[in-house]
Amino acid sequence: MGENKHETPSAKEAYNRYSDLLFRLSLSHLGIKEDAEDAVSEVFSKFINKTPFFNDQEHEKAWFIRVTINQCRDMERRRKIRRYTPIEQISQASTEVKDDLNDVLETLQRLPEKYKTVLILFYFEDFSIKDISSTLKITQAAVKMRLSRGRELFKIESEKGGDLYV
Amino acid sequence: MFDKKAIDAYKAITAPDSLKQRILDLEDSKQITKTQPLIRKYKMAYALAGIFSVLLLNIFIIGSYNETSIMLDTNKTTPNPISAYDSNPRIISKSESIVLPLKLKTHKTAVVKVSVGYLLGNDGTSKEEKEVSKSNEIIWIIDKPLDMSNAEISVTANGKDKIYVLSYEDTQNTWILIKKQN
Repeated sequence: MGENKHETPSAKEAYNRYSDLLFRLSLSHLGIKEDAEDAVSEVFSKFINKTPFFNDQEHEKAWFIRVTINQCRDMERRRKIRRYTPIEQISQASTEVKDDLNDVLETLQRLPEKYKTVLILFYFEDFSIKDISSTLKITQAAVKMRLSRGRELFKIESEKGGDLYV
Repeated sequence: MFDKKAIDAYKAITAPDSLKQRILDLEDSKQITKTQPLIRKYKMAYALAGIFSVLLLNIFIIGSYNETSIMLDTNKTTPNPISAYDSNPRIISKSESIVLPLKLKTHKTAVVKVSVGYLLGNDGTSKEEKEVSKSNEIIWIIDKPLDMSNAEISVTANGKDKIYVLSYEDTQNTWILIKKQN
């Protein structure tokens, strides 16, 4: 009685809300601009076809993020050769910053998916531990553990350096 | 942990315009096909309606096919009596005998029986009652009629009786058969 139901947005509204976030997330997972576009497109295709019901906007946002992560995971499994789109093709930042970001993203991509996701959401998308917990449907303790372990792995990988992507 | 400038550069990454068009095209194509699930949803109902219509048509056709009726002077009898019935002997006396050619339409074996006069068959026999196995012409003859108030002809087929009353239609100056209500 009197319950406010969250209205499912149109694809255009949802795109305006989440496209940048989902594209960045896909790009940081897949490393290739075209693959990231395909991933986001597939997510929206699922959204349009399923027209899911959301309790509120947080639920809606979490759905998009989870589906995007799952989509990237599937695409990563399917592809045999890893490639990487240099960030200069998709960012307006200065060359020096782009180089730094390239290094960061390349290193992040070498991490297992579960650590990579929490690091990106926490450090780059400004999600709180609580937000990550509810979005990924894992406990806050698990988020903290993944952040901790992710940081360690990132440090190890960044010290290794090297060009692992062709 | 990460350089702020790198984080800002990351946040400056936006989805390409081509992607937006791709998504909007997806939504458009979905809207075009939105009516298809509706058709699919009611597909069974349409099919059932179609089957029901065919059944109704068959029942109607079979019903018509099985119906037995009798006609006089090619005028099919009507279920509603016409109030022009006239039993006045004056009209009857116009003729020595009344010859009534009848067309019996039946797909079953029908028994035709008259209350006055007789039925003349193709073989020349004359009987008050005659069995007819298919649609046929029968001649009902009433010789020297005196009282026509009880002139009736009955047709029994498929266990059902239909009784027609012979009546004279003043306005058209002809005899007619009126189906008697059960």
